[in-house]
Amino acid sequence: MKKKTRKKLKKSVPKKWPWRIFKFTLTICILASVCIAVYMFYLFVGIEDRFASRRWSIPSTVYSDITLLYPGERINKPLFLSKLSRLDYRSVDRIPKTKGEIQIREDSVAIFLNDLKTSQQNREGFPVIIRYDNESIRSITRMDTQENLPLLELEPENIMLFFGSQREKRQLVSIHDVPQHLVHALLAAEDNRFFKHHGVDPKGLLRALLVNLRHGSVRQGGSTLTQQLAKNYFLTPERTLARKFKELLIALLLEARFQKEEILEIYLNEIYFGQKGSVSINGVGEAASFYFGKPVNDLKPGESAILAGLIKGPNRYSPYVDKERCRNRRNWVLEAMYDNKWISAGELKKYKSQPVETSGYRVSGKKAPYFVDYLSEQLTTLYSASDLASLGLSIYTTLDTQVQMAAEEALENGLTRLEKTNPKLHRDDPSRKLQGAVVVMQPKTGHILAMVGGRSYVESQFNRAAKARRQPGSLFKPFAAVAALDKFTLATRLSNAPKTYEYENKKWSPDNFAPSRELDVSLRTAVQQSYNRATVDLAMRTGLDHILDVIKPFEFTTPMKPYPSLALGSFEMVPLEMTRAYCAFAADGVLPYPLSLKEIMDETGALLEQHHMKIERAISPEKAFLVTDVLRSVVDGGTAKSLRSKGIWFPVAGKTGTTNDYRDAWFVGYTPDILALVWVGFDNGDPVYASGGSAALPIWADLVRSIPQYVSESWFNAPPGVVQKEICLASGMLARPEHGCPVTIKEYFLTDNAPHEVCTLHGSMVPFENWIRRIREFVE
Amino acid sequence: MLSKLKQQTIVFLWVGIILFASGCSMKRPAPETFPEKSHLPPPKQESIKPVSPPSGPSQAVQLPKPAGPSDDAPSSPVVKPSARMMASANLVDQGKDYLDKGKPDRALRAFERALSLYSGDGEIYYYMAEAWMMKKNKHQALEFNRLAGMYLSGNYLWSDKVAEQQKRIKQLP
Repeated sequence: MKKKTRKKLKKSVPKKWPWRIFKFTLTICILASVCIAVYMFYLFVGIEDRFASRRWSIPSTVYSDITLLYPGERINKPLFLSKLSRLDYRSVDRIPKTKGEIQIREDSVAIFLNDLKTSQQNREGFPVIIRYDNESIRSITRMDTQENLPLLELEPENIMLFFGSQREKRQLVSIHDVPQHLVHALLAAEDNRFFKHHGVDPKGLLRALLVNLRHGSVRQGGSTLTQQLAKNYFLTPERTLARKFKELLIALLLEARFQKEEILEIYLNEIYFGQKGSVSINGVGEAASFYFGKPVNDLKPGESAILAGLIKGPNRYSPYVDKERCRNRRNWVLEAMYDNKWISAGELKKYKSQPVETSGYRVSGKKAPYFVDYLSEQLTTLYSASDLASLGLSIYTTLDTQVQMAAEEALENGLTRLEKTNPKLHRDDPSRKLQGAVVVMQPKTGHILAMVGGRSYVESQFNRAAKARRQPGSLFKPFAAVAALDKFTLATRLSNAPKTYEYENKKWSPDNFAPSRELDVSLRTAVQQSYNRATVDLAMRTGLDHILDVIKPFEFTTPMKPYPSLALGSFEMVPLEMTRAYCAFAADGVLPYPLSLKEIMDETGALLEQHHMKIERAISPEKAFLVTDVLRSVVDGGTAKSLRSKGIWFPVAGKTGTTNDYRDAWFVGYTPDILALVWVGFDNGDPVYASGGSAALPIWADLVRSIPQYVSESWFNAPPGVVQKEICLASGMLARPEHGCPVTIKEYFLTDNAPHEVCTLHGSMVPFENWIRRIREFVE
Repeated sequence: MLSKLKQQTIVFLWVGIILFASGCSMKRPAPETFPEKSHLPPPKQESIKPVSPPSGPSQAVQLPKPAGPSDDAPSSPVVKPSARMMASANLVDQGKDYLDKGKPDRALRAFERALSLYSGDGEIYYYMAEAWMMKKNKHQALEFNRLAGMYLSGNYLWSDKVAEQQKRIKQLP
């Protein structure tokens, strides 16, 4: 029995162990396969999730407005040329042949325009020559058809990007827009068997292993494009065996899930191409723009080879870092292309001989930072910060970068000049420096063309243009005048004599800014010379409550009370609101909505949001005209007459403002085409020791002189409902110069309250005059 | 005595009638010294530049003469088309094309650009009112129609069109 058992055991042991080992191995394999299958399923779901949602976070871009050019337009040549440079046009010393090139000459500029894509149009770029003299554009001619153009639109300028935490810059491209030579260069450099393998290339791995063993160092990577994509898109950069295994699985899954072309497109949009400051350049679209200033479909084979060569070490082979090393790397790629028979020997020779040319490294800081902050506040009511950082929206604004630059420069120069003139204004502490704000608007449309909220955004992000509340001083007087026009005329005589007013048991005696001997002045003179006493007299006679009623449509957010000092601008106001309110005077009494955002498009070009100019009637066009005419006399012979000595020769309406103890200096000036407001002061209310006329006005003059394209020399015409009469200055009644009125002037009146009575002050010199007049009127 | 006074009165009356008949508009020689008016400011200090009619600038707005006595009304200047006006007119044409194609948003954008170049063209306001009508915004349509009416009131053809447009706007819900 024992023997049998032993025999059985002897027989069964060799039989059972292999079977058990086999079973065990099989079980392990099945378990491992199941685990791998489960894990692959998990990875597959991850891939699906990743690709079902947005593949990339693309920062939204804020753009300026389109620039219109037309024959006869006045230009500031340096500003215009710097605009072209900011639009990434590359200067060449021959006739431009491809998009983005520009040739600048003394009397002309030849441009091969970039494409222009807006909600309005989709214009292909074309070559154009703009001929100009020192002052204006003489002609705009298409170079390909010799057609003279009446109007040309330059593409909007990139102002800023709403980055997320990753700070990646990327322009998505379709595989159909990628030139064949770029695909070949990429494959030659990274994976020439891409279309032959299934995500993992054993041959490639073996070859790389042999090459590396032969050289004793890592010379060649065995990763396929798909593996690189798996690594970049799904994995962290650490080098472990587990991560490599994961990479292989994902690569296989990607190949199983997607077509080769799709994988290539994702790769081209994903791959890292270098660094621009703190921002990483990702994808060929952005790389083509960053290195060559052109869209990817305009790349030349040599440039494609440079981009393909960059992938191995973007910052090492960058043409901005070392041109020679970049050239060597490009040539290596070109040779690899030749080896793969993607270019001929002749092409290889030709491309290798070409120099490495780039568009030039451009630092892109945040332009118009205060304007962008103002805009962002509106945008965040429409989109969350994460959406703005990822949806790749195109946000078009009203900003004119030429006006913005002129405003920034004028403000800085003006403040520096003031500090030099008066050392008491100098502060060592940057946070206590003399400050200023500028707002420039188109009065008819309400478009905000420029906004400068302070001297330096780096030092202070407080937007004084849109947030500060300061006393406007005499800037408020025209609003009191508007209210008065219901009762009085511009010729109405006002008392400019010292007077004490009592209000809420307090006594108050307004004083004039400068001593004046005039004790009795017209309404026009009160505003023109900015007389405080006469203005308070006007306000009291008009009625403070009536003034408050009349200014309601101007939509000031400051709560105001019927104090006698109201007319002297004692209530603090926001500069932007004041700018907008003055627009009503320049726009037929219509208050425009202050517009900074024009439209928003998604990354496919679909329009998501569109804002148009909207208007609301604040006062009648007749009153607006009368106030404008008075404000023109402020510039022609009043407190702003120094404007004429500062190169402002064309008609302008303006108003100076200075507050108590020189805490604020203001100037607002306008023409039918443009309106700008300047404020100067210290944040803590220290005195600036200068009036609006001497501190703010020169800044306004500098600004407006720099933007001749907005100066048309035109002026407002009297609307129906306004008449002009010759009046006796002393009485404000119809003049009778032939009967003794010493000084007569022509004055505008509302038809409804134009004077009908002739001067009685000087009427007593001729006997029976009244009889004669009545007979004459009867006969007439 | 009475008869002498009567004679003097008749003489004065005749002088008056003759003066009246001759138009009474001859400028009276200024007296060497003006009657003293101590409360009046000296003429030079009242430094108002005599207001001139808004003529002169080449791009002056073409507005009709305001209602009122013709002698008093500021005269309309002759309009010489400027570069800005021509560029603006080009944009107006673009806007009109968009209106014809039933694209009011695009039209409005073109008209806004036209307005930024030359705001004195009443037709722009008229077409903007049309665009707002297409967008069913009665309030804005009325506002722009009002401005069109103001700028085009001297032009009979356009005045009728503006009035007819106003009727159409008012019919909007």
